[in-house]
Order: sequence, then structure tokens, then C-alpha cells
Amino acid sequence: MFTCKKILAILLAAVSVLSLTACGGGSGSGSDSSSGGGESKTQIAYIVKAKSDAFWTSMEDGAMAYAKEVGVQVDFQAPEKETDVEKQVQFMENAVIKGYDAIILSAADSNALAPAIKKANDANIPVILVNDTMDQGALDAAGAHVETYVGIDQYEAASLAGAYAAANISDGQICYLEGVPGVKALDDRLSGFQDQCPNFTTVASQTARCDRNEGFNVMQNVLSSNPNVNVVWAVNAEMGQGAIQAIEQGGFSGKVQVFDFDAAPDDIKAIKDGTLTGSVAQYPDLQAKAAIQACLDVLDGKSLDAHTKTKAALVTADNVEDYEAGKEIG
Amino acid sequence: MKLKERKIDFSNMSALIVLIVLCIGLSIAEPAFYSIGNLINILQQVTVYAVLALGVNVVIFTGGIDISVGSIVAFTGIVMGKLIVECGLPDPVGILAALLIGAACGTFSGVMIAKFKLQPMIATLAMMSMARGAAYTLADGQTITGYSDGFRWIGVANIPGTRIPVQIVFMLLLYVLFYYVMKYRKFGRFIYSIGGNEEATRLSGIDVDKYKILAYTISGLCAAIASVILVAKLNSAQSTAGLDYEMDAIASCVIGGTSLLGGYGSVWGTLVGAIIMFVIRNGLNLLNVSSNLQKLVLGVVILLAVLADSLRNRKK
Amino acid sequence: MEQEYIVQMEDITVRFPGVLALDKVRFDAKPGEVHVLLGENGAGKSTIMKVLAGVNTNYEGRIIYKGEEITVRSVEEQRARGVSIIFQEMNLLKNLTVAENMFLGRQPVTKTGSVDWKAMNRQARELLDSIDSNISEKAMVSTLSVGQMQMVEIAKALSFKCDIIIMDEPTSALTEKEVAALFRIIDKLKKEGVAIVYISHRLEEIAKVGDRLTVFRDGKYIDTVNVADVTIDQMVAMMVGREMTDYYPKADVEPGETLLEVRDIRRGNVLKGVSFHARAGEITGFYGLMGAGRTELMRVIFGADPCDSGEILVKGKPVQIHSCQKAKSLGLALLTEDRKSQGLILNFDLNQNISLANMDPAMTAFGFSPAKETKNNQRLADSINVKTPSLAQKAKNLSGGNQQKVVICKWLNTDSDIIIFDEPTRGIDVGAKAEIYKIMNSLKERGKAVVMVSSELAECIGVSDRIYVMHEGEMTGVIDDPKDFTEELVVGYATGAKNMNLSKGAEAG
Repeated sequence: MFTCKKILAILLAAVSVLSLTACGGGSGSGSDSSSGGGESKTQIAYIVKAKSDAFWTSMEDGAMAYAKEVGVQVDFQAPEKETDVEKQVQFMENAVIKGYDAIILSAADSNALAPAIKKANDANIPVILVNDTMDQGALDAAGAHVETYVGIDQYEAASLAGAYAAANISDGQICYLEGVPGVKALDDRLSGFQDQCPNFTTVASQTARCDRNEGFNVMQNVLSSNPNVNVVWAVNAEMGQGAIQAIEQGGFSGKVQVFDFDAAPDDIKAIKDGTLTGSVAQYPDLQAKAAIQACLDVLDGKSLDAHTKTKAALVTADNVEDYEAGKEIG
Repeated sequence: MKLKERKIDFSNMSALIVLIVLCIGLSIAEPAFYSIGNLINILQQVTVYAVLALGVNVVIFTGGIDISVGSIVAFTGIVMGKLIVECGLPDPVGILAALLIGAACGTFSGVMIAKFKLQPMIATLAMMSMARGAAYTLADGQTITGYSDGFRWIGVANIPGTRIPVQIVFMLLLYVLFYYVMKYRKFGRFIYSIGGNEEATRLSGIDVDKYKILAYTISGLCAAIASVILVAKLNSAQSTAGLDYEMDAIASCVIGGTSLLGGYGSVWGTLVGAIIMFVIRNGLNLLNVSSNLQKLVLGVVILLAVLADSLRNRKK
Repeated sequence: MEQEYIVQMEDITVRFPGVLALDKVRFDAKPGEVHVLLGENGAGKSTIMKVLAGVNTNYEGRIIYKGEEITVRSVEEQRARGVSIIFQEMNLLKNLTVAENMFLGRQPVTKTGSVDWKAMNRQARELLDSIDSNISEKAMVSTLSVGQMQMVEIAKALSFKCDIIIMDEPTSALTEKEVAALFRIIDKLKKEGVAIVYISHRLEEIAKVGDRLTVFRDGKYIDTVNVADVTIDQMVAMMVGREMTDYYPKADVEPGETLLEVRDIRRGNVLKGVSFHARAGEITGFYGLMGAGRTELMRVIFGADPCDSGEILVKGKPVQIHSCQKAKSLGLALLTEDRKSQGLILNFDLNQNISLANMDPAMTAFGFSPAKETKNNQRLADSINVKTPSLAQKAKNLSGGNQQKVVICKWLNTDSDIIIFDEPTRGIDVGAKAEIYKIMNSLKERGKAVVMVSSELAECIGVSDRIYVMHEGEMTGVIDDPKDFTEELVVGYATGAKNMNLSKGAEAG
């Protein structure tokens, strides 16, 4: 019992220290720029949806590396849950008050953040969207505007997987694992795949809330009513992994080809094992780099296209080795 | 005079009736529902939530609430994953560590509530945040995969010669154990009594603090057990595991007839409540009904269950 | 022309379910006098004042106010007429300031309709100054002492420009200094022609402050006299003056060894060095007025509340009792004053309630056996004649008397040697009362030490073998021989008119 309590105490202490240092880092640098009369660093608030999976940590690493390279300061912030829109709004408002030079945002909801973006506009702080874009109608309604959206074209990226499936599988019975309702990127991924496969029969299209266990459960349920499913398109990696487990345990291994999005470490391993047919890589580090560059360009007075497209590629068994080695693929 | 001894508990019956009606309705609407394979699937899906609900139920019996269990699932899962996969410790050591940490988290909440008189919602809200934060910190965005077949046996194996997953057997054994303890041991009686009237229980010379702390310890322990099953089933531990699971666990208890005021409810009712939730999800998946509707239907079921609870209280 | 009486209440009758709380009583008040209302607990003093203040409008009788016959319909109406009441229980909201409390619901407002804080605070200050109080009008009520709250209540009552102020036991929570301040205020009010109705148990205080005195007993009017014309002893005689009946059985048992001894228990302001002992085969009675500290003493002994200092000896051995489970293991049992919120789990059946303190008789090697439980509990229930169709009945469905018997069963089940009954017959009908007395006597015959706290004088005298009397946290008297039990003596100790200085003696020793 004693050791548990100790572990717990250490962990809890660690958490509080971390959060303290996080706050301290932010405020400390803030005073730096105000007091240091000379060359002050450009400060960018980088607000994403979560820090809890490999995609976001990879984006953070990319952002930090590039920030160091070009000599800007990037504060990376994320709520606990990908769906915590309210928290993101708070981060936005705080960033406006703190007076960052620019804000990079990966919006958890394609509508709800528009008013927060408007506040940044009013404070003359440029906003750059990354990875997740906003609904243009919502932006217009709030009178908000963003400089550019940096990221892959979700629809195009998803169609890479869809085209691969259409070319390699004839006569598909397909199950779609949808994401969280209301997120445009996930909706685009769904239709991007769907539009490439008009000849496939859709037997199920269900949400699994982007959760691995939910992905397992929904896949299991779908397989019991539709044992002939032979293609699965999961719009994120967690659900895809859950589906793979359900297929294995249900004895459907080899009969179902699973495609998912993100090319997370688990996905790469699954592709090597042959349980996952393909995964769309969206290079979060490249997105981060492009987003920071976009900030600098805007601050230099350049105008940007509405969409700064970044690279996406489909990873399959044929090119997984190259992908891992960091080589160009697709 | 003693005829009324074996009284029919109407609240459990109503949950059971709802379940039966649901099953009949779904069987008619979708033949695939009524297959042994699908029914086993439902039980397998419910296992994690049912085990969670079992612990939360004990806390609710005392008149408390525990909303930290979902986070404890993630925290204990990550710790176990780190110990087994990264430190290479034997599986039983990792599992034991997870169980101990889960229990310790519960004990911590319990002490805050019983000794420092924090409100259960507040104390477990704090624990929810601390455990989740610890899980995020330890995991650092990575999922921890790669467990031995022996470990995964817990989550994926069937009983030899059958199609029944062993995790269902674990769950049922736990339910039998809890049923026995709650009904036939002093512990159970005291837990219900605390929920019925804490002050009267204390003044009857019962160590109320001790039993309250134990209730939260059990809740944390159940969360850790659920975590072991979940990790074994998915072959991975993630810091995002178990998000919002506490709400499903509480909903299971409520649908099963447990009163949030404490002092009232049954172990089997909770299992029925959890199964109802997953029958609904399963049925709507099979029928390929729009996913948004699932939440709506679940909300209505929860509302009806709580309504039955409040009507029952008003009638008496 | 000025009226002689501000108010005259005649033939006032108030009925509560099953009880005649007031039976055609009368009461009046003149301007510029202090009219004391005296009586035992439950005599009906508060009841008639609640009628006058409009709190209880369900009455029969005639009320003439300033020469006009009126019907009392609400508190607001009575307040407008000039009747203010300061309740025994505090009615202040703790999270508001003093000024906010004084002007609750009638805050002065500015032209724009918002609260005029300046005016409100100023008026509050004036009122507080008028009673020479230095409490800040901006202080949170939660930061005040009980005595200070009482002063705020008085200031609040004064803010209503009243003709009659009713003070229900105003000094029970005040320090001596605060009492002196209160008396100065009363004098001032008298000079302004306000009538003061003063309810109190403290006889010496009454002699000091009162002009006239009315006595109620058991909801009946006894007499009205000038305070100057009576002695304290006469007041006591008027208060009790009832005849004893022999419906109290008394088993003749030779007392055995001392099972419980308590020495110099102190707890804040509530218990000021209390000592007593209780013997086997004896019913030890505790009398006192409300707030005398008897319940608090019993709770300390049972480990339900902590105490500051003191010694407890069980069967001659010093013990530390920090919890109820410890007390239970030492053979103590406490039947609480409030059986609904502290004695029973109302939603549980009788079996569960009876087994709560001791489940061992229902346990087998494999755990708990419902059949065994029912058998054991049925035996207990039958032994004291609990009337219920079944032990599966919920406790809340039983009558008060039967509920009390269930609590008794719970403690009989533990086979305790020292059994404390706190107000065992409160709210119980006459028949059930006699049965409870019988149970206490049979426990006495079985060699148990029975301790009974009672606020009913006749019961205390009728049932007890020895009586301890408490007054404001002190043990003011002990009467060892039933032959010496007189109501005058007991009430004398209870009101503080007489004091054997037992607590101070213990302090010196």
C-alpha cells in the first residue's frame, strides 16, 4: 500500500509541477517580450485539439523543431479531449488577451470557434487554421476571417485510399466507421472515400466516436448482421485499430480489408502484419512547419491562398518501408 | 406473517421487462440480432462497463458518487502497459500493480470524502482530473501495444470448446461475488445502511468512515479490473481510454434501479442496466440507424429509469 | 385616548394533530411593561406567541388589538400592526451581511430601482447604535457569535417600529455582558411605551426584568400576577402544581455496582464540568430545561461528539470513547432523542433496523442468514410487544411508539449493560408510554444500568430512582432518595434558582 501511495504521490506531484512549469513558461516569456526592448521574438499560440495521441505529438515535435530553426516562440496548447470545444474557445480568448503575434488553430468544431476567431481578428491577430478547417458559412456569419488553412485536403487524401480500394477490390461490401458528428474534416474523409467507390455496396455507416473500444464494439456488431463485409473505411486510426481487433477475434482475418487515416505507429505495424491494407499519412510535422511559415509570411505582409495544401500519401504494404525511412512516397 | 419475506423487487423487474421487450422487438426487426454469436458479442462488449458499474454501484449505495473511474481505467492501463511492455516485468506483476494503483486512487478519494468531508462529486472530480493527467503525462501521446498471448488471453480467449469469451465469465464471477457480499455479508448491509441514513448508522456503533473509504477503494479496484480486461481485449493501452465511461457506468446503475440517494438498488439490476445500454447500441448498429439517434434513445431510457425511481419514492 | 391594553387575547385554543396545544387561554399586554410568560416545556408559551405574531393562523378565540377585534392572518399583517417577534431559533441568513439581513425583502431602493446600499447600511447602523451594539453592519452573519446574532435579531425587530416585541428565550445564548445590554434595551423600550412579552425559564432573570407574570401549564391558563408580589418558589409552584398519578411503575430492585461513572466532562460552553454515576438495577433520571446540555452529555459519553476534557469509567475501568463503535463494544447503548433522523433508517424494513447494531445473531459460517435473522428479531420484537404485521414492514410505516420499540429492539439485540434513553417517550401516545416505562423497569430488573433523559417532570420523578438536574451545562442538583423528589425542588435546580454547585465542586476537587 505504501508504495502505491508513493507512486501516486510522485505522479500527482509530477503532474502539478508540469502544469506549473507550463504556466510559468508562458507567462515568463510574456514578460520577456514586454521588458526586453531590443529584438523580441515572434510569439505564436499553437492551439490544437489534443495532445493525447501520436498525431498531435508528432505535430508538436515538428512545430518545435521548425520554431527553433526560424527563431520564433511557439506555445503549444491543447484541451484534454478532442471534442472539448469550450476549452479551445478559452485558449483562443486567453491568447488574444496575452497578445500573441499570431494564432495557429486546429478547430475542434467547424462552426463553434468562429466567434473566438472574430475576437482575434478584432485584436488584429492573424489566425491560421491547421489540419482542421472551418465552415466558411460560419466564419462569414460571425464576420471572422482566417488567413489560410494549412493542411492536407481531407477529401483528396481520403480519395487516395478510396481509389486504391476501387482499383484493387471488386465487388465491395463496405462498412464506414464515422467520426464525431459535426467535424468537417471527418465528414470530408468519409465522402472522399465514398465518392471513389460508387460500385461498392454500403452495408453500414456508424459512428464509433473516434474511440478504439467503440470501434471494436461497432465493428463486432456490424459483422454479426453483415458477415460478408470485405472493406472497412475508418476515418481515424483509433477506430481502425479497434476494427482490426474485432475482425481478428471474430475470425474474419484475411476476409476484410481495412483502411484508416493517420498512419499512426500502430497502423504502420498493422500494415506490416498484413491486418491493415492502407493508411493515409498526413505528415503532421510538415503541416506544423507550413503553418508556422504561413504565420511569418502573413506578419511580413504577404497574402496567402485560402488553402495552403500540404502533403498526404497512402501508406500500404508496398511502400511502408520507405515511409518509415522518411523517404518520399506516393 | 412471514409470507412477504421474498418480496418481488419491482424496480429490478421493470429493468428486466424493458430488456426483454427490447430483445423481442430487435429480434423481429433484425433477425441477425437473435443469434448466439450476437448475444455473446453484446455480453463481451458490456463486460468493461459492467465491471466499472459494479464498483460505482457500491459507492452509489452509500449515497455517494464516483466519477473518476473512467480516468482510473486510463491511468492504471498506462501504468500496466509501461511495466509490462517497456520495463519487461512479468504480466502478473503489471496486473497487480494496476489493481493496487486503482484501489489506491479509490482509497484516496474515499479518505477525502470520509475524513475530510469533501463532497463525493468534488473529491472524485479532482481524482478524475488527476488520474487523467497522470495518464497523459506517463503516456506522452503514445499507445502502448505488444502484450504476450498469456496476457491477452484475459481479453480475447474463449472457454475451450465453446464460443464464450473468458472475460464474460470473469464478469459474471465478479457479479456473483458482489451479490454474495452485498446480500450475505455484514459489509453489504452496512453499505446500504450508510446510504439509508448515515447518522443513524454511525449512532448504531458502525464505523461509517471505514466502510465509506472501502466503497471507494472497491470502485477504484473495479476500474483497474476493467482496465486490465480492456487492455487485453484491444492489445493496447492509451491515455484516452475510458473517456466518459463513468457516465455509462452511472447510467447502468440508474437504469438498473439503483437510487442515487443511496440505500437502494441491487447488483443484478446494474448488470441488466448495462446490458440494456449495449443492446440498444448493438440493435441500432445492426439496423444501421443514424448514430445520432443512439444518444437520443439512450437518453430517453435513462430518463425513464430515473423517472421510475422518483415515482417509486413519491408513492411510498 | 390611550388604550390600557395594546392587545388582549381571550379563549385562545390551538389544536395540533392529536394534541390540544392551547385550551382557552388568555394573555394581554400593556404599553410600557414587561409581561413575562412562564411555563414548563410544552406548556404552550411559544404556541400562543406564534398566534399573536401571525406565524400560526390556525386558532380559535378572540384577539382585541388596540381596542379593535382582529383576525390574525399573516406575519406581514401583524408586523404592519406593530407586532414583532424574535424567535428562539435564529432566522438569519448566514451568507448575508448584518444590514442585508435586517432589511431583507424591504431594502431601501434608489430612484433607478437598485438597492440603495448606503441608505441601508446607514439605517442599519442607526438601529445598532440605538441598542448600543458595536457589531459592524457590514459584517457577514456567519462571522458573528450566537449572542451577536441575537442582538442583530433584536435590532431587526426594532426596525419595524413596533408596539409589541415578543422575545422567546432571548438570553439563552447570551453572555452575562450581553444580557446586561439586553436589559438596558428593554428599559429603553419600556420608556418609549413598547410592550414586551418575555418568555424565559430563568426565574432570577424574570424577577429582575419582569413587571407582570402569566403562567401556563399543559396548554392551560393558570394565573396572572405582579412579579413583585411573588417569590421564586411561588413561581415554581405555579409552574408545576400538578398532581402526581401512579401510572409510573417502579420495580423494587436493590442497586448493584456502579457501571458508568463520568467525571468532570467539559465541552465548550455546552458542558461545564459534569459528573455523575449510574448503577446496575437503577434508573438514573436526567432533568433539565431545553438547552441544559443533557443530550450533549449523552452524545459525548456515547462517542458521537468529542469533548474537551473529562473521564469516563465503565465498570470501574477508565476508558477512552472516541467513536460510537467503541462505546458499543464497551456495552453502552444510546437511544437518541430524534429517532426518525438518528435512530432508524425509515426506508428499511424492521429486520434491517433491528439487526443494524449487531448482526452476529444472524450470521452463519457462510454469511448472513435471513431466516436466522427473522427468528432472532421476531423473538426480540415479541418480547416487547412491537405491533407490526411483519418484520418486512418498512420502519416509516409504524406509529411513533412502535418505532421507539424497534429502536429498543435494536439495542436489546446488543445486550448492552448501560442503556441511555434520550427522551424515550417524546411524541408517543399515553398507552405506548406506559409500555416503554415497563420495558425500562424490566431492564432494571435484569441488572442493567438505565439512564433516562426526560423533559417531562412527572415522568422523570415517576420513573427515576435518582435524579440529576442540569441547568445550562452545569449539574445543579442530584436527588438520591425518591422520597425527596418534589417538583419544586427539581424545577428549582433546573431553572438555576437552586444550585448544589456540583460542577464547581468537581472543578475544585
